[in-house]
Amino acid sequence: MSVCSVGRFLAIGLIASLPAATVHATVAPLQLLTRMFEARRTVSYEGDFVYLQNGQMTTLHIVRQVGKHTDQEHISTLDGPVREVVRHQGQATCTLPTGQSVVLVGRPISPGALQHIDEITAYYDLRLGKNERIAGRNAQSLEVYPRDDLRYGHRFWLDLDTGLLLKSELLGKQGDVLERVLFIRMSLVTEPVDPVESKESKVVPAQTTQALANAGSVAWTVGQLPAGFRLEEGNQQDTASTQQFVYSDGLATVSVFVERVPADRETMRGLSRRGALNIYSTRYRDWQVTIVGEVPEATVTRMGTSFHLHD
Amino acid sequence: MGTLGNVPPHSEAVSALMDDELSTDEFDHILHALTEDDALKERWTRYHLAKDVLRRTAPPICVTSLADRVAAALASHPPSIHVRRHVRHVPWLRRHRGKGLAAAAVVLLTLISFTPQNPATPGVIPPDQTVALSYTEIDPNAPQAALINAYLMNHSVYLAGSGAGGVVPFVHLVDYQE
Repeated sequence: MSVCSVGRFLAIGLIASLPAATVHATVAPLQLLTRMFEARRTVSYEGDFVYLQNGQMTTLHIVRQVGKHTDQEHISTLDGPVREVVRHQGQATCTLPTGQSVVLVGRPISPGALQHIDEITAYYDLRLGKNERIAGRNAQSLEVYPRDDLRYGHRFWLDLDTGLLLKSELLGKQGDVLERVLFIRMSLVTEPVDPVESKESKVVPAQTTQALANAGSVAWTVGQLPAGFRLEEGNQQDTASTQQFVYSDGLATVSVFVERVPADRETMRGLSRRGALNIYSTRYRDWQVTIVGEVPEATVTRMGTSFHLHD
Repeated sequence: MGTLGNVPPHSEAVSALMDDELSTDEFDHILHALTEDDALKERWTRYHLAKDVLRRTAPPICVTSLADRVAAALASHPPSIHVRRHVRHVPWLRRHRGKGLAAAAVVLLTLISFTPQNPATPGVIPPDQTVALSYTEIDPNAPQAALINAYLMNHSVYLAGSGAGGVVPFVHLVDYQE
């Protein structure tokens, strides 16, 4: 680890350990953002929240437990058919209303976005907002405006005591709210809770997770990667079937899925959208390339049309 | 009739909205008020949550009981429920029945939560021989729909592990199960 990195993590540790009153009095926007990411990784809590998007509202319950040997979440719907996700040590098990489960292999909560957080201000303008009371807790709002039209803006409301996110809004290019999360109730969890056991059911590996295990060895690159985005993770192994490359600017994350397809197989082409997520699909030689991310359609299009093999 | 105390303006109207007791004019008026007033918007959301929780089954695991959770939610905003039940007169509104709450929710949330995105930004490389699709145009029974869902779930699992996006990746994981 470089001296610079050591200094950065020392600074992060110092900010995360500051008493709430100190943070409230002295915190700068970037420090507040750092505190938010750190809280996400280190604080256990449970609560109820609403998710609003595209005219639909879903109410959910979440329990987050983190400790020396624990990293798990359980989230379930409070309305409609019971749907739940249990995430334990990076592996997510999704239980369908039918009782069937799908297991997805991810990774444990990592410092991730903290590693390059000091670069975020190059691409986003951070401003402190008002103090408000949300879910019975005192919150500080933080406004995050993109400096170009290749990423979305955010409004965060952070718990003053812990840095946990109590409310968030994802903002479109015109400042319109694309999706909103609002905690109605949140409480910290201080006592250990038994590990969450998902219902017994048939486990079906997700399609791409199965395929990712057979990822292949080719050198892919994005010719016109938007400034600030860097490759966070990517499989470049032998005999590829499907690969996932993940790019992030610290706040926005874009996945590129590449799958080899037979010449006679119909491929997806064009733009589609799922909530605030934009999806761009195209064919490149014998490959289906699909870009997925909570970024404007211009960004997924730009990345998709310039994604290519090193010859 | 009890006193209103420090009940914010329009709170009772929001309550009446929840109870399906507004005329068309009243309905329009409160919708306008809700789109202008963030505090009122959140109050409406809390009403809805409380009502929804009371009607639904608790999730498989809860650290606190359902009754405790509902009580806590109501206790944090006591005027909203109690005033609605005891004070039925809304000075600037007339009460009528006949508007569906479900319709109100859809219209209201459409107004306050979502605005369609603009067309592609000028200066960006145009898609090469692509056809713009909306997700709804993808046949849910087609292999492509299943593939996209699988991509979205893998993307969300990565986000959940990266710590970015707060709880949103988990919501998406729940949502994409459909």
